[in-house]
Amino acid sequence: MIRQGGSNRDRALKQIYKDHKLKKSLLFWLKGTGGTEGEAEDLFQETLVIVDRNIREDKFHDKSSFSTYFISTFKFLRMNDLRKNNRFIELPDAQELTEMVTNSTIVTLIDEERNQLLDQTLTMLGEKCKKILELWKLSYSMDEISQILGLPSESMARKLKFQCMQNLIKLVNENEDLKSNLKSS
Amino acid sequence: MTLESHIEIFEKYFHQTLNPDEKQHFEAKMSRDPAIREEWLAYLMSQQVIERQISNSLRQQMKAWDQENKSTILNLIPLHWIKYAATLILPLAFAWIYSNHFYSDKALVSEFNQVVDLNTRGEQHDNEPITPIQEMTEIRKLVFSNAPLAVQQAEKLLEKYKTGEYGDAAEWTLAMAYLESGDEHRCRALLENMSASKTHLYNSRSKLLLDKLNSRWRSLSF
Repeated sequence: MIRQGGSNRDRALKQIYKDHKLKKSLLFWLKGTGGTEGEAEDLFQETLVIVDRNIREDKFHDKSSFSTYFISTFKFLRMNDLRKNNRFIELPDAQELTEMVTNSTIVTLIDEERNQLLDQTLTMLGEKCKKILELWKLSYSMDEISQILGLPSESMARKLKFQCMQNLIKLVNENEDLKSNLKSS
Repeated sequence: MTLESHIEIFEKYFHQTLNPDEKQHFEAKMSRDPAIREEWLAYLMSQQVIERQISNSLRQQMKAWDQENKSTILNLIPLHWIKYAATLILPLAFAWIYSNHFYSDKALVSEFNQVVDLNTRGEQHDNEPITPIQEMTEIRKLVFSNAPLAVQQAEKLLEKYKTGEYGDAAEWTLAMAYLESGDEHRCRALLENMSASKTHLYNSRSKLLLDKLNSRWRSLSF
């Protein structure tokens, strides 16, 4: 459902987010590594963001069940956190986790400096452009986009999306810091 | 070629929707032209910016889902309880206020602690001999300020005027003092005597007071 995009993705993500059984089991595991409930909540959200992106980018290949994949990503993130704070834990399935989880996306998402540069660019882009490009990327149809954004027609939505894409490319081109940061990845 | 026309091709190339010829042509062009390569790179980077926007939106959405949970809980618990509690509490509060206003010891004593006309029975007492009337008036005033003392003095008065109209008035005064001092049991005993005696000056009033003491409203007052 996440791969299908649009409102199907929204429904699927909400269902995962409200899966109390999954949350509870991850909280239990995280407490075993010395973590708190608040940390578990934050990590659960980060995991959902990463899993969403990996699925949309076809990096999850159904070799394992979805919940196994989600749990592995969660544990991988926790290990990463502990490593950053020079705290190590021994996980029996560490090798398996590393194989299962795609590192590149995670590293991308946790690069603070890059995130700041990306956020600056988004601020310059403006609310309407941000939304239209987001919806387009999430495979919403132009008809749906025009309805969500209150645009008079589908062709108007298409035109606006094109203009916003142009603006964004220009903003990226003008931002040397962002370019060099993204090139280095 | 302008940036406008490039975007369309970039998108098709990105989503792998170019046919083999178009794809080969585009790749050849990119290898020849460093400017197009730079633009293609900027296009890929812009996809990262959009992904960041998607992540930010999802984080906002999760906050909204959390709020949804909280507001659902708020909607469910307190409002239901408030409705049920109000349905129960409002009538009870009304009954409590009403009974205390009209049926408490103090309310009943205030209503009944008056001296009736000893000669005309049932009306105000202008014709009472001054001394006994004055005595009783003093005691009835005392009922509100010092009920135990009023009880003592009324008992003495009843000893003094055992029978007759002054005796009846002294008995009534004592009943009032008992009620105000919280001794309902003795008050009732006196009232029952008075109501049983048809010739008693306070016969009808004692019946009325007994009715009020037996009322269900009375059980709600304190």
